[in-house]
Amino acid sequence: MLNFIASCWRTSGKFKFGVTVLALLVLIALVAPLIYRPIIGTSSPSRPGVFPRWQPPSSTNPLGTDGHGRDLLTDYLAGLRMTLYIGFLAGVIATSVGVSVGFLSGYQGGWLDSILLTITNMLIVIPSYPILVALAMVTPEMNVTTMSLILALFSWPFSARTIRAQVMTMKERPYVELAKVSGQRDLSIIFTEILPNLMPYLLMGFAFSVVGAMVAEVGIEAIGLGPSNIITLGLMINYANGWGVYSMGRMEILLIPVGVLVVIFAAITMINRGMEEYLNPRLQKVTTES
Amino acid sequence: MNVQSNSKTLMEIKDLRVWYRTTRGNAQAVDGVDLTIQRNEIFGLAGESGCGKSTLAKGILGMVRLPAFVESGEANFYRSVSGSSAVASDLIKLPARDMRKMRWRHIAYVPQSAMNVLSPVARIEKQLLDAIFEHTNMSKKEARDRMFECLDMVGLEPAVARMYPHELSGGMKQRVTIAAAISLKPELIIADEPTTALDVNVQQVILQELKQIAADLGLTLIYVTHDMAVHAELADRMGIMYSGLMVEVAPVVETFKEPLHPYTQGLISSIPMIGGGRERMTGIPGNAPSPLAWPAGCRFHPRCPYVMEVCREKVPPMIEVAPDRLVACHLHPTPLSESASPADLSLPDWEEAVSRAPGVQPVQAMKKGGDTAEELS
Amino acid sequence: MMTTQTQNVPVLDARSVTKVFNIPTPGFQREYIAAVDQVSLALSEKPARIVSLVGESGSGKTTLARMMLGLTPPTRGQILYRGKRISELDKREWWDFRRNVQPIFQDPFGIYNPFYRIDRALDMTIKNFNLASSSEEALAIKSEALRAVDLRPEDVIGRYPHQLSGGQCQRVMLARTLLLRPKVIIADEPVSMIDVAVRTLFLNILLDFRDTYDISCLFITHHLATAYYMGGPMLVLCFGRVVESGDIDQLLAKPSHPYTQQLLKAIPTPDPTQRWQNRANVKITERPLTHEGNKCVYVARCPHAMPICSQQRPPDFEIEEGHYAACFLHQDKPQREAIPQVSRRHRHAVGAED
Repeated sequence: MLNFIASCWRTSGKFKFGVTVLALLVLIALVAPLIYRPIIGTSSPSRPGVFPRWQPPSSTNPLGTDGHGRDLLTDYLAGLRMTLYIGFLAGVIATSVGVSVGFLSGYQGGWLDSILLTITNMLIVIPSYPILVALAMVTPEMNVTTMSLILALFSWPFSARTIRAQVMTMKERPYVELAKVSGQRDLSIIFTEILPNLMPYLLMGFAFSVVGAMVAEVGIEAIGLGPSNIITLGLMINYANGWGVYSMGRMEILLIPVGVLVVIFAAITMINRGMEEYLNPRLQKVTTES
Repeated sequence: MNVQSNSKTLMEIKDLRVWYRTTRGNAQAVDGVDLTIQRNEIFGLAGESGCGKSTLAKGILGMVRLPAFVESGEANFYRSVSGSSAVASDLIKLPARDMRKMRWRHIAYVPQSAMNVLSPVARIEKQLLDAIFEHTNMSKKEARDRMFECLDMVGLEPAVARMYPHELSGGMKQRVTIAAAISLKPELIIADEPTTALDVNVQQVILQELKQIAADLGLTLIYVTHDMAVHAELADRMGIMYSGLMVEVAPVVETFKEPLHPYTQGLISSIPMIGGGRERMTGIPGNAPSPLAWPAGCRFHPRCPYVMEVCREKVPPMIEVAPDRLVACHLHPTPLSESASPADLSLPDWEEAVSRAPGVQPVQAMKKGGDTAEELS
Repeated sequence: MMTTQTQNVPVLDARSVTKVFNIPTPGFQREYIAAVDQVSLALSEKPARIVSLVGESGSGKTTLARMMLGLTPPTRGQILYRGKRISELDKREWWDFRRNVQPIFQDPFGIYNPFYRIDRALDMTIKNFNLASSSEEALAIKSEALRAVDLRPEDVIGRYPHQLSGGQCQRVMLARTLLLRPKVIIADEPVSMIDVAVRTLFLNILLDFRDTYDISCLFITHHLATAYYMGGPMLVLCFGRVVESGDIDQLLAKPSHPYTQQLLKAIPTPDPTQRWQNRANVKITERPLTHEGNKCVYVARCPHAMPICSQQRPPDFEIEEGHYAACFLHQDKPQREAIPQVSRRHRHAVGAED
């Protein structure tokens, strides 16, 4: 796996860019508390009323404060942290489910494959957003975990389909047959022969799930259906809208979370494109021959 | 290069280099090839995998895409305009637009897989007619007539025109590709391993047809394949490539009867022939080198049973050592123009040479009973 | 060679095996194709022989190979290992079968999982068959096997497949096979994807395996000249059926089936002074899709087709001792006796080792 990542890095400029930017953002998210603790002390970032409302940027509040009396910089840092976390969590859930389903489907074939494939396809075809909204509305207690689960619901089918297709071809590969005639057991074959070669697809599926989850998260939060006690970038967009920042002349309150989201998506997309460049020989500007 | 170019020359390739960018530097796949192709001949380009022959073909056709690129060199194509006069264009320097016009109209390409030329979503007739319309001003009727004429020349029924590629067998698709290639009556066809993936029977049909068509239409054909037997059946002259360079160019009969370059000799000695005695062949010892690090001096020297000191240091130049026979080997240092009397150019017996060569040993027979084979040097 | 001798039970014996595939077609008609159609072939332990199976693409040779390796079951007919049906082998016998019947595949690179180093293929075999009791011993065995196929262990161990040439990769396959000392190697087009100059080394190693280690081989190829170099018995496979069989010298001296004759004429000879004299038949037809059992499989292309060829399936006729052709042109000659199927009652695989 590390070899693969190293090779992508060497081959693709896009990959380098995406990974660098993402790494930077993750780093910021991780050290965020160190940045905002000095500002807000020990209170929770979402606690309102710590500062006076609508303050312009100052030495205590580098970006000013929002309509709830919260420090804006803290808002964004906490939001970045939470958005990345939710996206990541949803991505992990979606990919795990998707890979398991895809694998079973592809390897076993037969009636199991038919059932799983039908479920997968149904979930792809059904318009996800309205269902997500509906689910968000009826969920009694919306917290991070519940939200991630809901977001993962519509992301896993895509991984599942890709993995299924790959497993079906890999099953027939000569090296799988070689493993069989060398006495490897079936389960061992799955883990040692097939799974490692699925890594690139796993990573790509993961990246897509994360982006999908974050988009969906923004979608839900922006119309106010997410948990309002946890700050995410989507929630900030919702608030910014609600406060009417255009008329207030403080557009940056809206633009900053949007901008950060765009950068996250761009970085992840670049990573995906970079992996594709490495994997698809036709796209290569430089080959990796040894 | 000693061969004089005159109106008989169709193409002159000078010091062509096509390299590949890799993460470890440039792979010098084609590294200084000089070659002259005569009009109306069938030229066989031979060599094993990795020698650069396919890259050379693509380089001439301007079909080189990143990570491959043309590092230097010329490919002068003497297109006949009217009667005996010829217009020379350097295909390497030609801008993409002009190269596109050149392709199909003057130089056609038949690749290994027909699906590299045919689109799976259009009927055969549409594809053939499109090509004709794009490059000429024929009327619809003329174009259709030409199309059916070409299909007939390759032995396909007119009904094939209405079919889709997936309805045809591999051999038939390849014949369609050839029909497309000849439809504009080009002067040169470059075929890159067109029959390698096909059955022996179909291969025979296609090879015989190609030969017939080339003779009937006065075409020049460059046929690229590693299969020496195909060259023996088809080619007039042939060129052997090894490690990105041309090592021998000679008429096909001479090449087989009296190979000049040790590699050619080894290659020919490795071909199993039906009906011959069944002595063990040795093949060519060693492994083909990597284009990222060609050996110094003569690139074949690590595997050559006749290797001399000079071979390790100096790259042998390509010299004409007999009429129309060129070779790049230090065993043949005297050009024809300088040799006083006709020299005996033939090499000693290959099997003997390999068995006596130091450091280049054939596989020893394994000892029975014990489990260790003899240490190989 | 082809007949079963009771005292010498063949190691691997295919008796009238057939493999039928269903072809999905639009509509409700189901078309099926018999990729392998009543093929019988036996490989004995002593004397070790290299049996060549010559067939073009679509002849069913790979399907037959996979059946004989136990990777896919025959639709009809039996594959016997030491006299017992493969599907009935118990655990111990199955391991014995696995050890003694080993493949060499066509694609020298595709056979290795690109994720791992190339010697993992050797390690896997050593581990699963308990060939070494320690890692030092494993390394010793590996190195020895590599040297036996003209490879230097330091060139191979620790490398990835793409770092080696096709010829080297294929020889590593041979080294792996040598570790097990099987009785039979099933080689499916082992040299068609490696360079001509390197092929001879590989072929010579296979010949040495036969002479030195008594390893028999089913050598599947489309290249008649290569089969000629190996010598020995040969079967010609056409559209799933064996149309001619015998010793290769017999077949070359007297090719008796029109398909064999056509094949010999179509092969390019590496001698420019001996070019093709005949003109090939331009109208090559496609393989008949639906299997019709009661016809000669070559009837659509055969220049000598007679009415009976479309009415019955030709049996094997004996042209001379050991040389058979399935063609009605020879119906005046004696027919070959049918090969019996084995009953289910066989308890043990004969001579199975521990």
